[in-house]
Parts: sequence; C-alpha cells; structure tokens
Amino acid sequence: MTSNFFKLALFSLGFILLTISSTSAQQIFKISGQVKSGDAQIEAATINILGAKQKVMADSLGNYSVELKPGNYTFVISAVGMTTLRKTVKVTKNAILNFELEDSANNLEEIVISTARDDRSLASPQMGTERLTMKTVKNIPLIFGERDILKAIQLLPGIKSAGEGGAGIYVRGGSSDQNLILMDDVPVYNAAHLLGFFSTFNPDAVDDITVYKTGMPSQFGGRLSSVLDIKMRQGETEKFSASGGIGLISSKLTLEGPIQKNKSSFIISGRRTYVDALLRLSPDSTINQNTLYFYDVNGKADFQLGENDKLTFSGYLGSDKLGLAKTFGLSWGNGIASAQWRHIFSQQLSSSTIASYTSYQNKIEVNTGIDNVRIFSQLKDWGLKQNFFWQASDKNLVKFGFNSIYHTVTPGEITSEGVSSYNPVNYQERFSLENAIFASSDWQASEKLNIGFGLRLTGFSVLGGGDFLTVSPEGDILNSTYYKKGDFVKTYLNLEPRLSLSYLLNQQSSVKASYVRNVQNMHLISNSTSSRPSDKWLPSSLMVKPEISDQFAVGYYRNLFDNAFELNVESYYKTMDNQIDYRDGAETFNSDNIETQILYGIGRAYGLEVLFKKKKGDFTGWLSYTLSKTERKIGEINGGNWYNARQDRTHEVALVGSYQLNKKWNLNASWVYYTGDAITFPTGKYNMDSQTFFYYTERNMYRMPAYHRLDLGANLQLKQKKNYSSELSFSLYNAYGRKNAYTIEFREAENDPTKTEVVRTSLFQFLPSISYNFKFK
Amino acid sequence: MNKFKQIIAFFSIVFLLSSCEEVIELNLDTAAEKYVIEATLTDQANGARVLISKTKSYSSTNDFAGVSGAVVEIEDQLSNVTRLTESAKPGVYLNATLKGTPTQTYKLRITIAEQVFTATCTMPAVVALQDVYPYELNLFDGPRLFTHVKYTDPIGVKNFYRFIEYKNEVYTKSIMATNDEFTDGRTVNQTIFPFDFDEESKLKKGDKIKLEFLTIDEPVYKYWFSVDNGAQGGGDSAAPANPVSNIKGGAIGYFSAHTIQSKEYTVQ
Repeated sequence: MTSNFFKLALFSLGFILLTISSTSAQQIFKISGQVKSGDAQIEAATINILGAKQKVMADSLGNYSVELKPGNYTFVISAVGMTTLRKTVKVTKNAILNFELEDSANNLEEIVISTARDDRSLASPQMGTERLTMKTVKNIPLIFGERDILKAIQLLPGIKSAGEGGAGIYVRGGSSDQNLILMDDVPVYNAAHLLGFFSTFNPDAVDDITVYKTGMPSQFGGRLSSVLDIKMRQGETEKFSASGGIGLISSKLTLEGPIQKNKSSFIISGRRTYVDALLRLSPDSTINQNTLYFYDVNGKADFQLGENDKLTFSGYLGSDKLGLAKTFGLSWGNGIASAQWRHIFSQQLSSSTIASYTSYQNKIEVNTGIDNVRIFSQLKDWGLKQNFFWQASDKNLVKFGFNSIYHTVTPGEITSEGVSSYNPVNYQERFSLENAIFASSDWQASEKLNIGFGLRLTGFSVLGGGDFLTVSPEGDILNSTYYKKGDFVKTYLNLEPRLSLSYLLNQQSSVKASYVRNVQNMHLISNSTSSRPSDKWLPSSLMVKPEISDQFAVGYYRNLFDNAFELNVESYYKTMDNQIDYRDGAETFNSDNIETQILYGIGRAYGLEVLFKKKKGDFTGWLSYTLSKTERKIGEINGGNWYNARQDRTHEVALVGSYQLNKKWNLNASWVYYTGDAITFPTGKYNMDSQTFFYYTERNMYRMPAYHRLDLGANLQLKQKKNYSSELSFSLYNAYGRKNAYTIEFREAENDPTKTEVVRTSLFQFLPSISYNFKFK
Repeated sequence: MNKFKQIIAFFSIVFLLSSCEEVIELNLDTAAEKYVIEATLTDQANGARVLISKTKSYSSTNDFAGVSGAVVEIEDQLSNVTRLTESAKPGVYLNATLKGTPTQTYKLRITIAEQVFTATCTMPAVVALQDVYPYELNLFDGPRLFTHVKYTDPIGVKNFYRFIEYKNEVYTKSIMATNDEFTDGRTVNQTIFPFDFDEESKLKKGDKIKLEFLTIDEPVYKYWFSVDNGAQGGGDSAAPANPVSNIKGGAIGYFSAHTIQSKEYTVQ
C-alpha cells in the first residue's frame, strides 16, 4: 500500500514538472531581489516587465528572479492590497533589485475600504478569492463593535452567515465544518467563542484573511468548501509599541517590538471578555454566581538569521468558560503552537517548513452533591508541512511539497468522583495519519493566457488501536474487528486535480475558468443548527468515507473608470459526495457506535455571484449579490429525493459603504438581505401523553422569514501625538430594529391552551456599542 | 444530554439579554390525516389501555377526537388474544383485567376500517424503585427542589427507564427517559427536570408529588428519546422529525409494555 502511494506520488509530481517549459538563454543578465512592504514580505507579487513582455511572480517570501537582455525596462510591481509600483530600470549586469510596496490602504490619507483586488487579479488564473485586511474591517460596522474578521467576510458574495451574530460560515453550499480555517498555516478546529458570537481571531492580532471559494492552490486541502487563510501580525522590528482597546464586552492589549533591532521581533496580544463581571454586578444571587467569559492569547516571535533564513515561532491559547454556580461547568478551547523555518536556497528556490501542534478540547463538569462527573473530549494534531517555491523559468512559478498530520481523537472520557450514579467510560481513541503531496505551476502560456495547474494526492490512513465496525444500510452492526495500535485499518487515496485558466480580453477585463476537487477526512458530528462546544470531530473510518467535492467555476472580471470601480461575476457548480446526516432519533454522544447513527448522501450547489466595488475616493464600498441553490439527497430523507439544505438561500445581498468625512471622522454602514433558511415546520399536530406534539412530513420544505438588517458605524480619530494616538469607534447593530427570526417555535398558546401559537424569537434589536482604541509607540 | 441543552439555551438568552419573543402568523399546509396510537400494557390491573386519534391541522384547536370502531387486540407469547373494548369515551380502548408479565413479549394488532397496525414489545424485568425524594440543586435560576429517583441498575444487562411526575395529581409533562449506558450496575439518583424552568414549575411546600417509575424496552426508549429531540415544536435541532415508532403500518405513536411502580412524597 505504501509503495503504491509513493509511486503515485512520484508519478504525479513528475507530471507537473514535465509541464514546465524551460527557456534556453542567450546573452542575458539575472535581476533578482525581494518585494517587501516595511517588514512584511509580500506574497505572490507580480512583476510585469514592460518592454520585455515578461511577467514573473514572487514566491511566498517575496523573492523573485528574472533574466533579461541588456536594455531599458519598466518594472510594474503589483500585489493584492498594495499600491502598484512602477520603476524604470537599466539592465547592464546581474543585479539585486528590491522593491518596497505600500499598502494601498495607506495612500489615501486615512483608510479605505477595499477587498483588495487590483490589476493583478485580471491576469492571474486564481479565481474565487477574496482578501480582507484588518484595515478594511475597521470601516465596517460589526456586532459588539468587535472587528471580527470571520464576520466581516460574510459580507462578501458566496459566503453566508450560519446564524445571527455568529462567526460560523457557509461557503458556496458547504456546511460550516467544511471550511479549512488556518491560523498562520495551522488548522483551527473550533473557531467559535461564546457559542459563535465571537471568533477565535483577536482582531488586534490578525493581519489579513484570504478566502478561497474555489480554485484552492494545491498546497491547501482537507476541507470541501473553502480555505480561510488567516495571517497573524508580525511584531514591529523598529521600536516598541503598546496598543489596545477597551470595549463594552471585551478588552485587548498588544505589546510588540524588536528583540534585536531590525532582525528579530515579538508580538503578544491578549483579549478577555467580561460578561461575567457584568453578571457579578447583578443583585440577583442566582445570576451573580454564574461564570461566563473567554480569553485568548496570541504570541509570535520572528528571527531573521542571516540573509537566507528566517525562523518564526507562534502560539495561540484560548478558552471559554461557562459555569452555573458550582453545579455545572463547561469549558472549551484551542491550543496551537508552530515553528516555521523559511530558507532561500538560491534565487530560484526557496522553502518553508512548518512543524505544528493544534488541539481542541472541551470539558463538562457536574457537581450536584449526589453526582460528581467530568466529561472530557479532545482532538489533537501533530503536523509537518513542507513547501518549496521554485521559479522554474521567468514564466513559470512552481510550488510543491508535502503535508503530514497525525490526528488523535479522544471522543469522550467520563470520570466520576465520590458517590455517583455514573460509571467511568472511555470511548475508544481514534488515530489517523493524513498525508498529502502536492505540486502546482502558474504558467504564463501567452501574453493573454495564464494557466494554473496543480495536483494534490491525499492518503488518509485509519490506524488501529480499537474496534472498527461495519454497519448495514439499516444501521445494524454487521461486524466489529479489533485492530492493534499502529495497524493500518484502511487507507483512502484520493487525487485532487486543480486547474485554472485566465484569458485577458483587454487591459480592463478578463475571463477565467477553473475546476477543483477537494477531499475531507475529518467530519464534524453536530446534530444541531448552532455550533456547540461539544460537537465532535470524527475521522474517516471503515464506514465513514472521505467527503469529495468537485467544483467548476467561470468568471468575468472588469475594471472600470481607471480602476476606480471593478465588477466581478462568478458562477459555479459543485457536487459533493459522502455527505453526512443522522438517522431519526440519532444519539451521537456514544462514539463507539456512531456509525450506526449516520446516514450518507450527496449534495449539489450552484450559483451566480456578483461583486461591484468602488475602490477609490472618499466614498468606497461594495455591492455583493448571490443567487444560489443548495441541495442534499441523503438516504430516505424526503423519500430519497433532493431537498433544500438548511443554508439554501436563494438571494443574498450585501451593501457596504464607508465615507471619509474628514481627517477625523469616518462614517460607515452595511445592509444585508437574504432569503430565509430552508426549515422544517409541522404540517399537523396530534395528542399524545396528554400533550400536543407536532407532525412533520418533508424536510426543509418551508422558509424562515427573509432576513435583513442595517448596521451603522463611525470612527473618530482623536488627537494624534508623536508617540500616542487613539480613536473611538461607535456602532449600532440592527439600526432599524428589524425583528429577524432566530428561532420559530410552536407551542400551546399562553392565553388559550386550546390553540397552538407560533413564536418567533429574535435577538439584537438596536444593539449599540462603543470602544476606545489606543496605541503608544 | 437534555440537561446540557437547557443550559446552553439559558446562556444564549442571558448573554443576548435583548432577545424578544413574539407570536406570529404562518401559513402552513396540512398533511393528510394519520392515525395516532398510544398503547400501553403494564404489570398492573387496569394497565391495558389504547388511545386512538388522528393528526389535524396545526392551526385547529387542541381537542383531538377519538377514533371509534377499531378492533384492538393484544396477543401474548402463548398466542392468547385479548380484546380491548371501547369505553364510553370514544377512541379509548380498555381491558381492566389484562396484566402483562415481565420478560414476556406482546403483540398489538389494531384494525381500523381497512387498515391494520401491528407492534411488538417486550415487557422488561422489574427494577426495584428504592426512593423518591426532593433535593435542592443550584442551577441557572437559583436553588430549587428537584424530584430525585433512586434505584439500583442491574449490572450486565441493558435497561431503559421512564419517569412520570405528577404534581398535585397533575402530570407535569416533563418527558424523562434514560438508559443505563453510563450507569450500568450503579445506584442511580436520577434528577427529574421540569418541562419549563419557570416559577410555576417550582416545587413548593405542601405540593404532593407522585412519581411513576417505568421499565421500558429499547424501541420504546428510542421513541421517548426522539420525542425529546425533535417532535416538540422547535428548538435548534438540525431538523425536527417525527419520533421513531415501533408501530408498523404507518401510524404515529407507540406500543409500550412496561412495568410500573410509584411513590409519593409531600414537599416539606
């Protein structure tokens, strides 16, 4: 099995490398260097050399290299979110030429909203991508005044909120567990704090996010519907600074500075909420004994070792705690640590190596006096990721590498102390090894045509150390076999091709097309609509097969009025295999026989996404519109017919605007509208056990009422001094007080028990917030 | 995990503070009528009881007319067939003398017009009810009394229980069913949670509490478990669904052959 794996791996690597055309040189010089912005390397900058009709891409470290005949050239350097730089260069010898780019957000006096796309996006075959920087997020009004990057991206087309105020998202018809959420390249398994009202990403520690809705580069894999690549900030290497924010719900503090000036730096950022402090103020003793808070701490240290090596250590620790007096406690959180080494071998070849650890755990404690029980569950990953960036020719950037993850899932350990009704239980741990090799090439086939192709080969090995079930389609256990620890129970091999094309129609517009396959081997077991801390990850097993998706997409991109406006239109069709749902009355807590509770099926999603954006001027913003359909077909649900997935929302609109009134004031607003979720409502009722119950026929045949909401915000820049600056941010969530349905429930009418009433619960009408942010340097 | 769900719901609400409830109108279709069967057989006299009714539109009133004229029979392991006769109340079929024996399997057969519904259920062995008592717990609405039920689960066999609480002779409507997955062989003190955590459901001094303790078989447990997880009209279950029935032929409901014991106490 393993030798087959390697053969296939070599074959596919070879395939990619063979497609690379190398050019033979005559009398040429080599120009190379780095594209930077301050201390940050700029990833994937494009360097267009006018006069030579050549174009090269910088690698992830910002390094580029190009071979040119002697002569005069204009270098046009552009990158996502950066102001395009033009430089005229006379080439007479081999030379090192570094370019310094400015964040495009910086050059318009204050701050500008931009989902950061410029000329580059027209030519690059990469599609389905959105990038948001924290500077953009600053000028969007957000709930609790918290500049949560996972909520901000919900305003972009194709990315849907999983629920009011929540950080959970659905991308192009996928479920919320089908997003690969990366914090500096390390997966985060539960990105929700406080039941989803906050994400695990402290806004002060985040630099930017790139969302891939399709055409994921081949170095990413493991989830079906999207990659959320979140980069955390690097400490300043020039001087120390302290910054922070004080808000109604949480406060934050960030310290950063050089360890050795211009060579190494650190940043440490912490955040804590104090809802529990508010609870404690309550005179009601039943409330003030309760606990409710979360915190997180991000840290990062960078060391530049000589010209060619850089080491980065980063860590994250976050936890939520809920407590009811001393009777009940619930805590959960993620812990992440990673070390990254970047090395430049030559002007053509560089590499990045990341060793990482990530874990998610949750603990429930009950101490009633008669029962003292603790339930613990955990998922942990040890990972190694190796990326190589090879500038194979001036027209071809090749990336290749491998990724290995060793997963350990501890689904549940129940322990009890003293007198108790409960037996200790240890559900069997699950071990698995997820390997992938990948390679991709971005190739400029002609002046107008760019082609990106990639291959990813994933091998997911289910490892022994427990009993593995085979289960009949009816859910009965057919067989249970014990495998020793370290035994290979089953290996799933999957080849994931990725292909994308772009064709420049003219200087202002282009068309693109792509195909991508994704495979997912870690599945979230969640039988509720909201994300619960107790939701568990289940690795593929004998019965649970890898989820597979295939997505085709086409798009049209146009810049208007000298890049002041842009229009993007994308359409996609996606199929999903081995999707998971649950049998009626499923009990998902017992993980030893979870396979008897699961149903399998397929899904499909298709849609049209439009983004129209104004990028320049005092008034900036965008309009996003999504028309889509998302369906599932699972087992006997709805008689084995296609039915709407819960997140099937036909129309979705977001309108975002920001107006720079003057140097001090920025005013901003956003409005969202979407078709209500598909939902199951009763089609009858009956009496049983002397109470009324509801009768259901088809799954998700009804709709929640349409959702819409206006948010307003304002930022006030307070007096700026040489070493101190501060600002105030105001926001009003749901400014016209729309009562959007959070849940709709059926119950006996309160004033007439002979009738049934329908009750809509809505949250957050007119939710104001204010926060104060400061920075000392 | 019922407990857990309520706690999560509570925190969502406290945290949100500003949540608001409002009665709204919805226009929903009405599915074709279905028969609803609630059939029990106990190890006591007067325990054989079958109620037959029909589903109706959600917007109609909560009076459910019984279905008359059905032939209702229960057959024991020795193929003795006993007929339950319709009482003065339409749709209620009784037999005062039919008693079940623990560990025996019973078959229910109902014929209504042309339709036939059947179900099979095994009456589990008796597990002694040791005590029923109030005990104070400090959960999210402060200290309150909860009825607790003490019994010792037989080791090495699967057991399923149901608890029915009456306060001053009124059924509290709290659906409590449990298995021994975590409590096999233990002495269990089961907390009975109220239907709603409101003022009215608090146990007050002088309240007379009666608790019925049932041993049920697995399909009946599955029925009550799934009722609790989806058929009660909402919540955040991913998709509400009809409870998993042990009746064949397309009716809603259950046939439960169970043992029953009860104990009473008065809140001091």
